[in-house]
Amino acid sequence: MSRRDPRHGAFTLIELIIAIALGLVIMGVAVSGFRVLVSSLTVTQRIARTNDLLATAALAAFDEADFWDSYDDRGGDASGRRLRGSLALPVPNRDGSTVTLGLPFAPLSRSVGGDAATWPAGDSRSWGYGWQDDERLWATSADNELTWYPGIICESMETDCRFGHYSILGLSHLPGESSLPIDGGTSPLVGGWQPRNGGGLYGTLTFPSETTPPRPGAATAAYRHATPGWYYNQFHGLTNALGWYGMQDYLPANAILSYATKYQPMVRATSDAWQDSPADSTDAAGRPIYLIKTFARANAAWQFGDKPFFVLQSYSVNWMPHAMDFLTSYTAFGLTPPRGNLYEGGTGTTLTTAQLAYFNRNIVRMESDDMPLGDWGGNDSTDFAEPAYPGAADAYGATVFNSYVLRTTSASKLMTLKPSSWPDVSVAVARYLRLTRFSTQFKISWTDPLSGERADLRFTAMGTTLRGARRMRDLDLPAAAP
Amino acid sequence: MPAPRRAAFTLFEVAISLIIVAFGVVSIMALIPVGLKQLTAQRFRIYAACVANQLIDVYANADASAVMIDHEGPDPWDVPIDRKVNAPDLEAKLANPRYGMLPLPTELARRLDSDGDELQRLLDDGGYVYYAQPNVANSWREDLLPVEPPNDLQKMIVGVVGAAQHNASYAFPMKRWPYYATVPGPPLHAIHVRGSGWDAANPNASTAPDTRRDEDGAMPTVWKESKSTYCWAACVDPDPRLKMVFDTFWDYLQIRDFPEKQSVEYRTKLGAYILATVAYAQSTGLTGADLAAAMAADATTGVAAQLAALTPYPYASTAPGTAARKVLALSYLSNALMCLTRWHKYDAVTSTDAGDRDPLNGGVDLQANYGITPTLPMPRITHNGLTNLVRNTRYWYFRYCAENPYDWAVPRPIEHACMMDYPLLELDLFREPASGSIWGLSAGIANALRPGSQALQWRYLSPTPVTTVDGGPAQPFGPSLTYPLTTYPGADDGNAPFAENGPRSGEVSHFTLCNRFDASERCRQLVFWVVDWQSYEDCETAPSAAVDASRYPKAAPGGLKPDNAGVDGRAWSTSVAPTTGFDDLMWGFTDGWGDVTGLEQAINAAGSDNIQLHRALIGSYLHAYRNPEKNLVFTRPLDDQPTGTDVTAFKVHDNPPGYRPFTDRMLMNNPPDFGPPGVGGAVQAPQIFTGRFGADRNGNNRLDRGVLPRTARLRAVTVARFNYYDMRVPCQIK
Repeated sequence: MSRRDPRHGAFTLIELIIAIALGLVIMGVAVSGFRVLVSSLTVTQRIARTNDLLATAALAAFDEADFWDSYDDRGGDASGRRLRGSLALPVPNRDGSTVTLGLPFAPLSRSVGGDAATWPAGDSRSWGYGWQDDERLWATSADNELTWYPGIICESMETDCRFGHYSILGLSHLPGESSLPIDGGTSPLVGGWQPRNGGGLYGTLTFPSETTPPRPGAATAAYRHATPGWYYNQFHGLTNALGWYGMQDYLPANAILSYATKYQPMVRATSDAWQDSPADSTDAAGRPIYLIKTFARANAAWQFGDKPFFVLQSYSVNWMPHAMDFLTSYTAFGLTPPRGNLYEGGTGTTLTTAQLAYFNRNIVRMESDDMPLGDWGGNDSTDFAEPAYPGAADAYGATVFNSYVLRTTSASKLMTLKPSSWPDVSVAVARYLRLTRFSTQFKISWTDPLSGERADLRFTAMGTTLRGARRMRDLDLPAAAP
Repeated sequence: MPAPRRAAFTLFEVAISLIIVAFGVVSIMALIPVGLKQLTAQRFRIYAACVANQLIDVYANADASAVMIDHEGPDPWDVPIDRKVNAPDLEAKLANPRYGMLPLPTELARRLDSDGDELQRLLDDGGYVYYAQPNVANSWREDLLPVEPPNDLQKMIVGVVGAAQHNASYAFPMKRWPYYATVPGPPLHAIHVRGSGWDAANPNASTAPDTRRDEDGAMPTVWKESKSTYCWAACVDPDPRLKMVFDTFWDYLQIRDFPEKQSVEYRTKLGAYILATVAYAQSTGLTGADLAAAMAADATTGVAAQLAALTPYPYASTAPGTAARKVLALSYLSNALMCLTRWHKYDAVTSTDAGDRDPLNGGVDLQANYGITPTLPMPRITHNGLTNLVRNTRYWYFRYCAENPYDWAVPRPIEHACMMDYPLLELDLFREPASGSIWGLSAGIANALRPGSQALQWRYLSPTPVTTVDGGPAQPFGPSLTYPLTTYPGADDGNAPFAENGPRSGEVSHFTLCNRFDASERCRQLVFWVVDWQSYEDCETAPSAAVDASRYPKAAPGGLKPDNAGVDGRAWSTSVAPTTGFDDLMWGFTDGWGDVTGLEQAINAAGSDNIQLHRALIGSYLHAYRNPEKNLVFTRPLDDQPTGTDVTAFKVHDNPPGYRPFTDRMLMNNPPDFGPPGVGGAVQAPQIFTGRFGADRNGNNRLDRGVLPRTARLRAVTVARFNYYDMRVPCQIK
């Protein structure tokens, strides 16, 4: 009979079974806990990574708000700086010279042709036109009488000039142009929105040879007499040089956005066929129609009847020159990025310079039927100078509006070489002038390839103006003499 | 040889070890949620940083001027122009569908706990917490934005802590200065309701200024019958020669057809206009020598040069009232004489009609060409003389306005609009308020604090006296455009709207806007919390947060209203009638442009007669007013609808794809969120206005209900705080 030595004892079977069972339970718990732990860590890691990317995207957005690299890439290749270009229009000026439209980052010192001012490189006249380096503040200062609007805005585009030819106080003309007729015409066969009797002939004004404008703070009276179109030249020149967005960015906030030039009648093919008229059509006072009618209603034929014209206090205030507040209450001005936009297929799509010039003069009218939710809300205008007007086949409201937003939106993906398991994060930016506000709008989008989670974060941010962005790049400085 | 010890862990030891290991594992696992929570907070901190940028961007840059409601009332309490809704406070400016901060329903907000109970204390103080609108419009028309999928941004709510400052007034609600006019230009005239609204004391009286002119016969019937034009300037300056200026201007304006222009008619009428402007100029003290000097040379020498040399302009030492009339007279005279450039060529004689017409390079003899002899000796009018006159007139006019910023009789020049045109006014919280009755309400409704008065209003402080041409102390601010025939109480009247019309001698002024301040006085704070408030079962059916009464865009008395605005299911009316009682003011609006009364639009509806509609009824033109959730609110109770119901048809404002606003626009306010109570037990407009039935708060056009009962409480976690500069003055950075 053997006797068990207690010092050599072992687990009994039952103990072993219990121990194994306990061990299994514990292992099970541990394994499942470990799995949960791993899973949680994975989720945590994914969220953390997404957060990091979102933070990076937010920083990229704020960086873009300040530096505008989506519109003019300082560190990239030339494809990102194509808004410094300009476009010669196929249709020449009245005098046969080439009309050159600058894009928003076109250097001001580069010659930008048009009906009015140029900023010749290396020319003494490049100083004094208002937008060069040390005269910039003075040129936009409200106490500089050269910036005061010399016309009369209380007459609508239907004016027959019965209150006079205010263009004698300011007339936009080419730098070398020594004379210009002031002639509102007499023919009754002018455009449907023009007076039936024209504005009458005043005569031909001659201009002395141009001189360098006085330095800031100096007396301006003599110069103003000699160069009555200074304000108009600046306005027209800026529009040609930078487009509408840039023009409104540069001019003082209280500027009346109009000018007078040589009368160019509209064509009256049918009663309301003003859309057949040339792009540089003016009213009888020589004021470009596109600066008035662009922002007016489209369906207003009943309102003029045989009424010859209106004055300021009439209800037709939107048929007159305006300042930024009124223009942007009806219309949004946007910028088209140089490296493609969402409408044309997203990033990587290359637009031609002509397309960039074309699209950077697009506007979208939020309402044009004098109803806040007008028939043509969102009408997209796609003409260089005069926006196209809606026809029966035009799309309406949200459709055109959305395509406009897409066309003016640049999107870029962050970290395109990332591992495929990382979320896709992109930053989209669009810049508009709307309701007197220069608005930089961002959308950060992300999609998780594992969970399929897709979300957007939309916001706006304060940043640098176009003028500030150009200033960073020294684009307003005179070019070196060739 | 002793047996080797064969000791091992006891079961107890193993058990203890396992417990320790288990504890460790559990502890580590317990940290996971904490980590996740931190990561979630980190995510929302990123959101908060972006949203805070947007809020400040909009606060600083968004338009501060587009208020398409009546701006002037008989009494300061009659129009909601200078109230909280237009205050330059961040939450007032952004809590609307255009800029994307919508108040979280109070019922929901009251269920939320937070550190230090900060959120509840904010509510106790009368504040709101806000959630992000599903489609933040950011200056776009909100109705055009596509519906986006909901995201967790809506879980973030934001509040503004720190007391708002006592702000500058948005506008003086009895006269919204500045008025603008062209310079040169005729006497300021404006469109007005034709048959009523001329006198604040009796807005229904039909007595109109004798310069009232009815509308052109070619205008649409409803417009023609409801509107007229009158000369405001002639109500300010009773000089009959000023009325003559307007009368002759109007006659000249009314010349219609080309053959007539070629006839003697224009010559007669233009001659009369010139004569009248010269006569008025004479009445202001201007002499022939003054006019000749104004035409002789351009006196504009550059502002900077002027300042450097301190060169006075001609009227620097003239009494302001006299100088005001002089610059106005020059503006009228320049406007009349500039007409000559339409009928006279620069360098050639024009003689297509009877009589010769002198060229302007040599000068026009007024007597020879127009048969008139002005009461002041006038030189021949030349091209150079005209350009000098216009330039000098503008310059002197601008200088006058710059030197007399609180003269409310000389309209500011539209060609030179600037911030100094806007008076700095604030309310005096430390003097007895003005009181009175509310137009259109019957007697007996008195304010509990001041028996006998229906309304109370803090009175205004002006840093320098507001003056008018002939106002003097009796009428410190002169006739308004809306009620030009009103005689207003004097500045010293105990119930006058101004507590201080300029500082009083011997008293410490209560005006504070120009005082020095410490940066901390301008500091308020944005606080962001995260809470899943959408998990409540009533997250969309809870009523909107209480709507500030200032958001109700009430019309001013004395205008017109549509006979029916469609509120009870009837079609829109094509006719109008005067407003006669308080409820009428809730129907719609009388004022289109913000400074004169008159129905905004008479619009051709396809296939029907003209309809009356005011743009103020359209949300996109009145974004600051009404319930901030107005584009999302339900128009009926949805308790009978299952979760997930398509609520498109139950929302006030929803434009489906393909929506044609011009032809379908009636959908916009059908049923409306304005107007008198409904009839026949129907849903009442005020119920819709106040968001009584809830709103589609995530904008997905579905009825959403969460899983949490109303009795549950949630904890809002603070994720970020941002200090910001709190403005006192309405402004916008360009």
